[in-house]
Amino acid sequence: MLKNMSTRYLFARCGLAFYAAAITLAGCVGKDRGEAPIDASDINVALEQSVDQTVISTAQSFLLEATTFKQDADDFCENTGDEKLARLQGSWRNLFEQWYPLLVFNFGPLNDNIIFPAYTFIDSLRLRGTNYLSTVRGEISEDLASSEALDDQYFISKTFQNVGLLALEAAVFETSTADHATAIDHILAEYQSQPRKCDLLIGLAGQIERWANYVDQGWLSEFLDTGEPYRDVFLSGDLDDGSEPITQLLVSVQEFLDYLQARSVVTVAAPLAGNTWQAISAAIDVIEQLMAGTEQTTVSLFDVMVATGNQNAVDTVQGNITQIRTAIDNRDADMLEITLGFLDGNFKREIPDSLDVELGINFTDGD
Amino acid sequence: MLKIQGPFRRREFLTALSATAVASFSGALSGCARSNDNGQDLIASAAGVRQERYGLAWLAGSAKAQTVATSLTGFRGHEVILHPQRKHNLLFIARRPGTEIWEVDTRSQSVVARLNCAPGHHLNGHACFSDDGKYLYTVESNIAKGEGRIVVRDGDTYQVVNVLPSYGVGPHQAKIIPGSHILVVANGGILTHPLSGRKKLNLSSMRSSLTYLDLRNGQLIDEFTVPESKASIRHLDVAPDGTVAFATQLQREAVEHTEVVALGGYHKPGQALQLFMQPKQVIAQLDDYMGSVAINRASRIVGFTSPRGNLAVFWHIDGGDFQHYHRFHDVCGIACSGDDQQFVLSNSAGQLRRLDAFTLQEHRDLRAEYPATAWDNHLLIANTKA
Repeated sequence: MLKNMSTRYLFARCGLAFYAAAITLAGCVGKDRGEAPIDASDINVALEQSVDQTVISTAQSFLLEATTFKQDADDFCENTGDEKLARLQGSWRNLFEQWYPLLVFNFGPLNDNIIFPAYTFIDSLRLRGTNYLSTVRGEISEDLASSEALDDQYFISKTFQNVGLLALEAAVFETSTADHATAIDHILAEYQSQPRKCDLLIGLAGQIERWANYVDQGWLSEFLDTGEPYRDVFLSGDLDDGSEPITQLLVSVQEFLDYLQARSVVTVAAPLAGNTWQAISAAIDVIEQLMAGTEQTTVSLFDVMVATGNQNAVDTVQGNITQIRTAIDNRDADMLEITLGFLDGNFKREIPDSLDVELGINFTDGD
Repeated sequence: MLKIQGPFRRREFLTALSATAVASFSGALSGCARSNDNGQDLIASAAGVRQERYGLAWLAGSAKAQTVATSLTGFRGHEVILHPQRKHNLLFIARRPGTEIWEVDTRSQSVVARLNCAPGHHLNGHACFSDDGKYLYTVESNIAKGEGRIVVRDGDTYQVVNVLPSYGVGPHQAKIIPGSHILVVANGGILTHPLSGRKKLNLSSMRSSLTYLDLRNGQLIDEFTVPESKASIRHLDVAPDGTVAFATQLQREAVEHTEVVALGGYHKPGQALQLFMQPKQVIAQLDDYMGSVAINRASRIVGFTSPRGNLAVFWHIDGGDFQHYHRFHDVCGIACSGDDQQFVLSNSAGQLRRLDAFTLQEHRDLRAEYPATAWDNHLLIANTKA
């Protein structure tokens, strides 16, 4: 995975950096590691800390929001009211904004079944960028009109196009009537006049919670039939598809960034709640955290890049993240697409090159 | 049933197919090996991540203790083929838009011949021999005209003896229909120019096709297109009965919809082109890209690889039923073992995996890894027994 880098070379680098630039010195001595210099071999430490402090924490946060949403749905349906509906809508927004950070890491439990991957049951848009809003609307209308029991089994059997965040968004942000009214009082009136809509809401919320729990448990308890949590499988490097963990991690981020651009997600996702900018912003925060670490991090991926003489690459990545944030602040979709492309390129070139990671020649440059 | 571009000259096609006895088929140059069961399989591929490591790599030694031998070339290769008459010699064809082909003797590990493509041409990474080895057909592009060419060379001296049209732009892989004078060509349809590297110059008007040429006179026998005009037909393999399986690469940036597009298909002599349309969930995971294809003649299952999807996928070529998939990071090379009992997959991490050709279950105990060898797009398994 890594080039053999001579100790003398590294010490020479660090020594030079000591006299040349404080920022490079910081990279060489690490954060809370005393005098022990960071070197290329620390990439495994950085990887483990990234997984524990960032990747798994996003799965836990998403589960927390999914559980909160389910509780708010139960609470709303026990005694419907406009304040509770507003809270439910806020809860959906929180859930959605916590989803994008997790979607950055679309591997392991989130994507462990090629036919029925978990992520599609949470976010149908991610599969091909297809907006299934009209499909969801039709399904909700049929569910409300039918007499079939809306129990857990019914929702488990639904296809990915008809469940997940989009279905919940349609359930809590608009009516099922032909005009798809979005006013709170109209939505509330429909819930009050059609008890089956609460059955629908609770059923869909239960499915999201179930998938969030599946992903969380997969990372922390048991992954498929391995008998181990995916965390351990991943960090052991014994991935079934033969890839290196750091490769899988970087490719996943790169593919997420590519997805945001290729599918013009900012203009398509969350069509009713309208908080895609916030969700993308949250995802960018997590990507930066993945690279820079948290307050608990002793060795980050950026630290390893600096230690191996790639401060310029770190600066480039951070500069591009800043540009993305500016585009988000300005709600500039065109500039967002451009700057996401820059960061996407960083995850294809500067970052893997700095960490001496091969993403795969066929993957990156086939014919 | 799919659109057939132009008149379908079935009788002409079948006549040409039967012009030479099928029994003469040797097929040593196909994606799937045609060695006899006693032969030593030679596994070879273009390899290398950087220019200083580009070259031909093959596994040498006994089956139990194989090591990688490498012939550095300084340029990136694409397909590797076995010389039918010099059974220890491999031809290493430069990747598009390269111009060189090297012949390497795997016993002496020496380069025994170097040839360049025709003046004003560039190579497209693929070539094949006639069944008897008398002719080498290299897939080239005429740079000035932007047209595909099949350059016919003497199989021994490599002197150019004829230049035929491929009847398309950007031809990529081509193979002989076994026991015939027919060459089937995957015209990718994408125009490039060496001055602009690999930049695609005609995405709005690209036209990909599968063409059948009569090598005796250069005439076009038949031509097929796929319904999705932005799907570039790039790779193919041919079964002993003439069934052609092909793999495409969708130019998604030129497509205005988000629908899943079938990427692989097959064509049987005298019939219409068929696409592998299902399961869409699996096809969606291929990320619009198939990099290589191999038909197993024992199971009649065709395998396709997608390095972008980290997947190998399999369908049956008699009926088109989906069979299985296998996740493998950056997988691209695919070939069949000499006895046709296994599919062999390769990736750029130097790993080789073997799947049972019938059940498609992996023989995990046969996993092999050569970390210093980044296997490139295509894998050759050939019998070197003279």
